[in-house]
Amino acid sequence: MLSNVSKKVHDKVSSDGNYKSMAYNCESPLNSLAVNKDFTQVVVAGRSVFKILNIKEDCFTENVNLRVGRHINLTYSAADVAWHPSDENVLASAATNGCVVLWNLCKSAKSKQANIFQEHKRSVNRVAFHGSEHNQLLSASQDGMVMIHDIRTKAGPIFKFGSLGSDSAKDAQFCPANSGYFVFAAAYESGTVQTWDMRRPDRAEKVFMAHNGPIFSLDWHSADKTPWLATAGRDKTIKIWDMSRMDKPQPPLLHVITNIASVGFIRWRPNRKNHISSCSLLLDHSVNVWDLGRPYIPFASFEGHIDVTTCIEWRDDCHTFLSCGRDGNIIQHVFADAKRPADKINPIGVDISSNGYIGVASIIKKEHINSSSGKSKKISKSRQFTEAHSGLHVYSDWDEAQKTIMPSFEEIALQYKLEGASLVDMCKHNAKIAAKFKKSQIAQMWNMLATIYGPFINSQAQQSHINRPLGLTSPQHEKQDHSELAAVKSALKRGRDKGKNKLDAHVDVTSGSNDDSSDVEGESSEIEKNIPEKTLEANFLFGDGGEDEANKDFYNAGGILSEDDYNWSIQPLPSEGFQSRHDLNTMIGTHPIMMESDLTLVPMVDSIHPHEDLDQNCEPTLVVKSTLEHDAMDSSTSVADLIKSLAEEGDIQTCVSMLVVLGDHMKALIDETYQESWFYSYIDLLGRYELWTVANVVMKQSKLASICSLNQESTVVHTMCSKCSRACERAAWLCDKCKRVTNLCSICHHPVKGDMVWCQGCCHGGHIDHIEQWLTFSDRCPAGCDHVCEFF
Amino acid sequence: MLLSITVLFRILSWLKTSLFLQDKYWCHFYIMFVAKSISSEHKDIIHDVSFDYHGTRMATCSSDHTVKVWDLEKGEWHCTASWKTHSGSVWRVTWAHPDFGQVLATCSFDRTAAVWEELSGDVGTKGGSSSNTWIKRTSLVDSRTSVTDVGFAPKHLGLQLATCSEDGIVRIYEAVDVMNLSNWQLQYEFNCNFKLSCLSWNTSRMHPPMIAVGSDEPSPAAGGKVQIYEYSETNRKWQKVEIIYTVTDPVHDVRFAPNMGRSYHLLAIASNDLVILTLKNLRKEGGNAGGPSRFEIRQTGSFDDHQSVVWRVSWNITGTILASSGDDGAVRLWKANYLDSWKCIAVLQSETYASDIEKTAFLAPSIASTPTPGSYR
Repeated sequence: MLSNVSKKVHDKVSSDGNYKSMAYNCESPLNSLAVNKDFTQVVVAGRSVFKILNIKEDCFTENVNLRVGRHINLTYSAADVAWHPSDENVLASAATNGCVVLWNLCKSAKSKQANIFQEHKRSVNRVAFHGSEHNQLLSASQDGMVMIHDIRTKAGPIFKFGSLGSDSAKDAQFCPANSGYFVFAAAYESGTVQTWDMRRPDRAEKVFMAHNGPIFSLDWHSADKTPWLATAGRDKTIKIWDMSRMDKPQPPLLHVITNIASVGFIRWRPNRKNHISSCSLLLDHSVNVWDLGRPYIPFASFEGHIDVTTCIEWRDDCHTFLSCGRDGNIIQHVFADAKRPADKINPIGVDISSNGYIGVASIIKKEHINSSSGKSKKISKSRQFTEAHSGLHVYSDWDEAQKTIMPSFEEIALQYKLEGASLVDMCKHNAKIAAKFKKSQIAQMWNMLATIYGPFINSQAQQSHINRPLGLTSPQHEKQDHSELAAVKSALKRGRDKGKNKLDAHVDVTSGSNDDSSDVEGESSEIEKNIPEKTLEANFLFGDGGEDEANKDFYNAGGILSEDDYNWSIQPLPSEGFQSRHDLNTMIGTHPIMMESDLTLVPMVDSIHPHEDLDQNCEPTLVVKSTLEHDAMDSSTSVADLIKSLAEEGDIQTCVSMLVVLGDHMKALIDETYQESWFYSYIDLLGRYELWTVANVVMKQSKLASICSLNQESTVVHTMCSKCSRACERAAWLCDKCKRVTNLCSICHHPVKGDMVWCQGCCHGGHIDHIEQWLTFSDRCPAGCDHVCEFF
Repeated sequence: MLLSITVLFRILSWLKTSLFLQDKYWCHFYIMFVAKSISSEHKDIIHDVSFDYHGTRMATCSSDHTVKVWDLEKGEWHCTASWKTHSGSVWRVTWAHPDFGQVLATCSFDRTAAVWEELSGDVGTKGGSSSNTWIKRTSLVDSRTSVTDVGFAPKHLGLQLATCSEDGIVRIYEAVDVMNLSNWQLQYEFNCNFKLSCLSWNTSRMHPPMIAVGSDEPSPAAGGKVQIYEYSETNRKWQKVEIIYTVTDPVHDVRFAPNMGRSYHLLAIASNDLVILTLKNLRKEGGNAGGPSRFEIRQTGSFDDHQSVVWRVSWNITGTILASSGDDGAVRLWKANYLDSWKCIAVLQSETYASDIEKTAFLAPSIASTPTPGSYR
């Protein structure tokens, strides 16, 4: 069982704390520290500090200040300091003026300096004693030399390695005696590591590129059988190399740990094969202990320094260490007080997608392993730490049809009818859709709206009309609807060609086929559909009269075209893409047939526009209307309440769809800022599902100016002449300068004024339907350029 | 006729109550989910999963310094890009609105936040083997401590990015020119005076820009762990408008529900419990001028179903369903009924967990080559 698993990663730390976290401030930046062999004293050194502190149980106390004497010079400050492994009284320090200084604490004089080796030409970066040959002192300097001194003699170094001025040596450490008695490694500013046999100073045993940029620190693993060398540098990485194979030029890289900043100092944690401690040169002031098994998150992190930490020294019990930093503090850290970053990180991420997927990434917790005997054995916490990884799952509904997260949003959005039918028809249609997707409440609401806003008298007739198989406006028979519409359209066109009044023609056509009074609404919707068609044709260039002028000029001048040459009706623009210029709904009222024949329609139109002077024209109906009007208003407020409550519940789809369908009925009853916000939200949701067409319908049908204008922004397509590269200003297809028609259709050689399609490869193209036709029998370019065209 | 209308109203009111019935019914439904397990190949823990605007792309970020982008193709998720983003654990990843391009923002332990853009043009290459290239457009290096959360502002506020960091500072950057993602200007900066772990933008258009921040400071003495800030047009700065005093446990995540034109705000808080708050504006809307907004805060729900720390919360796009993830390894889905009381409607528990144990059992001998656990300590 997974529950209640504590993620805590415990290091087995003896809780009977012999040691405490404690700190001492030396009031000056510290560069280095070193402890004596029994960990009772520590020497700290910096630019202006050089003192020995006693390590007491709960505090540090100052023992000796070594920065005393007659002439305090650079030899009294140190970049690095080392304590003799066996002789408690001997110290070595590396000075920035190139001196290696030996200190003897037994000296009776005030200044304890015993000897100074001055062979290095530039500042010394590191001093280190050999682990077994205690009299041998290694020093690495900025001048590129690494030297071994014998501390018993006052003479110069016994060995010199490297060449002067070649490459600054940043660090050098003797290999632990058990893995290579005579070997030491040196790290250089260029990023190379060299290993030397101290008996052979003439050439390095091995030279390899370890880092990208300077290496600041290196450390040999002290345990047996692990001749590992750790290096760290400015490239933010700590790298572990296997140095066992002396024959290979490039030792195998075992691990890489990436830090967030350049690494200034590293030390292996004693008694732990895989733990290494590090501190950064900038940004991060804490000391991190890493586990090689998990190179991304520190196993433990120790805070306390308020500036860069410069040096770390572990106690042999591996639970305590000392660190010093630029802030002048020397701190004893205890493992029990460490921060465990892995405990604080988020182990389980979750997100819900817009189409109902749930993405879950959760840590895989292995509590137990079954050993071969079948007994379950608890996995150690540190193994839990190193083996932490996440499983990634994407959940979706078992049943594709049942969408829990976003129930049928997409389908409903597509199938709802928001325009092109009477209010009642749309409501009935939408109710059916809602019912189809098992949203009975919402279906009821739609039905309710249909009843409230529908004509009461012949609601029966309305019902039968809906179910009529070939009904002109019945939503289930959209196909027939369309075909009839096309017929109407062509009739309309014919009518126009004859110079007739188009509206009359339309009335002729439609009223001829209908005598059922309830169809008037459907008919009016056709007018809505057709009128925009016409206005669009007239403004086909989407411009003002000026362009039409240009149009005409061009026809006259070129004499190429007449209107009949191109059959406009082949290429009807989808009407939902554009907002018609006039509020066509008012036409309904003025339509002569409607006025006379349908009494029931009047109240619902007028209830919203009671001030309109239509009232006078409809004298006979006024009596009936007045009562109805009142009730409609009443119900409207409660419908408004319903819509509001839908929005509050988050069902923005139903809310906005109702708003759209009800149109002007709701406009005054709901605060516009709310309406606007609902529309924006719904349009955004539709955008998520890439239902741009539906979004466009919503925008178009919205009664709010700010929403209506949404689909009219950035709709201008600028064209340039292909010959002179100047913008075509007067018309999209005519260059004023070249007096040339720019985008001719490759097939009919007439300018393309509407949708143009062209091949991205050869730039030939033309009328979309011409090209379509062409592509049915050839995949080559219609212009004859022999390009195998790809049209998108 | 009048009679029929009154009958209708009766039905209307019945409808409202019947919603209640349906919701009650809801809870009895056993909702089945299929888990599709994806081999993430992240080398460390994944901290965040984020879907893009359309839900067809998914980004994951992990402690292994990488971000991976997964694309949905024919019902399967394919990794189309994986790249190293930071030099520390990547805490969060989030997508910008697609109007600004394919843009991701990440924040990391390495004290930076970064903005990434996918190079277009490779789109034509099919086969999935070629991984898409993401380019670092900017690195926001103002923070001195770990950047714990990053969030793009709702689209109507332009291309703005808010970051919060452990030292308690919220920074709001803006790409003044949306075509140039390399140029982000630090527009606002405010100090919340406690360690921050998460932030969330409110998406409402009707209200001034608003951000909620949460703190995972462990001590309960620090008081309310969630604060709400609002942009004041008159003072041209962000100011604190509310402290949620009821939440004193460490907070790991806060999320405003997508507003969707609601008059109130829903805020989910992942703390030791899952807390859902309703914030009602006391002032009338449209009154942007004048003092800061005041809220009537109501705790709509507080759930300890996870019986452990709650780490993350996530809303669906309409703010009707909430997912919460807890330390128990489960994801719970929550939905409100008509009384505004939230109910758990599903528990998603990784089904492969059991099989994983068995796998481990199989793997155990090979793991044995590593030193015994004792020596690790």
